[in-house]
Amino acid sequence: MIMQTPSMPPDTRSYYHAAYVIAAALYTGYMLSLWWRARRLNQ
Amino acid sequence: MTSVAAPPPSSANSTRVSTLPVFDWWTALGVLGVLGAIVRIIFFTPIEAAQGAAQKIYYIHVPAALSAYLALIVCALTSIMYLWLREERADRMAESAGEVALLFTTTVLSTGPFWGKPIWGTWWTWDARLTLTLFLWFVTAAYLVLRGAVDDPTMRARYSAVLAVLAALLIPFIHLSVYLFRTLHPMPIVLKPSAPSLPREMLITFSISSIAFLFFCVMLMRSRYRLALLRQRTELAE
Repeated sequence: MIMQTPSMPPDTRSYYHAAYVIAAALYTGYMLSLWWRARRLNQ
Repeated sequence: MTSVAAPPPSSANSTRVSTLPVFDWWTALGVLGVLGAIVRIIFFTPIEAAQGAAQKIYYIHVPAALSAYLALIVCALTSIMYLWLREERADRMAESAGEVALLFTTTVLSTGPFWGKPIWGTWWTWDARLTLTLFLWFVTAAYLVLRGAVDDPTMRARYSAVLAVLAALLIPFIHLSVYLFRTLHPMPIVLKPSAPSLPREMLITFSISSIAFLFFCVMLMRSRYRLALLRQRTELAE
């Protein structure tokens, strides 16, 4: 008799984490560039 | 020819501009909105059975694409306004929206491959949707390079306005590319004529994330506009 186990989702967490880290880095980097450019203009 | 050189600022105006902060409470609200959406995605949205956690990339990938479209449409509309009225504020807004559009298009192109690798088995494919989005990235980057390359403000504003309108014409082709060509990219599951195909919980998360990212996009354009205003004020003072 073949026992069927409930199928588990594939482990794709590393891709999910990497995509979120890259998106966070892009947005944070852009906001820092705005801050830095404004700071340079104010000096 | 109408000059776009700004009039000398009045003392009251210059005081207001020089103290104008690039970020304010509205920006903080935009950041908080995105953070709230991410908390919802991570902790309160189920993992899709067939794709696993990588499916959650969808909640930042598609809102980033919508935000890029929004920024490009703002860039094109304000460019048309500039060509029509020769209003310097319109050019400044177009410049700000163009930069933000490049940021969001970069996010789309960076996050997509992390979904493509586990689901398609490849980081990239020369599919119509992907190729057109990459082309849009190059055109948006060219828009900003052009702005940096032309010294004369009137010529710069006019040339870049034409390029911005042409870039925005790519948006309908990108959106409809999955219908027009045989592509590997999935068909829209929310932004389509029939009812969305997402389960309710996922649809709520997608809606929250889209609203949060669109608001964040508007706040970034606002901050970038303020930076352009500050730069102009500094140039006039020198």
